[in-house]
Amino acid sequence: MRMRLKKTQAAAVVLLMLTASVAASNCGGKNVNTIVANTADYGTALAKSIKATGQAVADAETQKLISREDSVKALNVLLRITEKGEEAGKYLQLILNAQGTPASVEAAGKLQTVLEFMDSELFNVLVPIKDDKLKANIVALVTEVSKTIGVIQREVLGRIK
Amino acid sequence: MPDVNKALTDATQAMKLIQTLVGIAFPLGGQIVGIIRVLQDSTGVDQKTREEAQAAVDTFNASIADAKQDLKSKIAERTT
Repeated sequence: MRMRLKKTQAAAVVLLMLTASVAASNCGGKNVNTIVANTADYGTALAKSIKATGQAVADAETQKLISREDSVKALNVLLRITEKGEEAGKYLQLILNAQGTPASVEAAGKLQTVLEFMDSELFNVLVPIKDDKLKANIVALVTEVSKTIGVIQREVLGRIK
Repeated sequence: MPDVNKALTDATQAMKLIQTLVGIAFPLGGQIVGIIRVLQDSTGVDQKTREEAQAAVDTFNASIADAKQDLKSKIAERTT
């Protein structure tokens, strides 16, 4: 009797575990709300990094490591990137509003393009900067921003339905 | 007269039955809890709501607006 119950118990456990793994494989993946929320969180970190980069440029000018003209050039590059960030926010909102429709997929494609522009434009911040030490600092900041953009791209690419 | 031996046998059998039931219930209960957790993770119980996503987008927009304003101020200070 006891042996029979143990066998039944083992069979039930195996069956339940199989059911769970099938359910997990069928239902896995994040929903659009989660993807948008994660992307927006990374975007917030990105905006803070851009602001910090601007501050580093301004401080460098104060320390006479960069001319006023060059700091304005670098700040303008950052401003253009930030304006693209505003566009990214609009596309994120569209993805959230239109989830499950073709408009959502279209917005995801446009967001991808905006992110690619931001990433390609980013290293132009370095062009006006000649001081090696300052350049190294800005490279670190810009690389961090670029990494964040990469994470956003991976979060968005191919996941919006 | 009550049959003491029979009563003891019955009590022993009852104890064995309880032991068997407890032996089944505990491991099975643990497995079920584990499976429910796997299902919760995979079916989106822990996923974000529309409101949470909207709040994250709003925070993002506010951060971008703040960065833009900060950069514009810095540029204006240097060009006017």
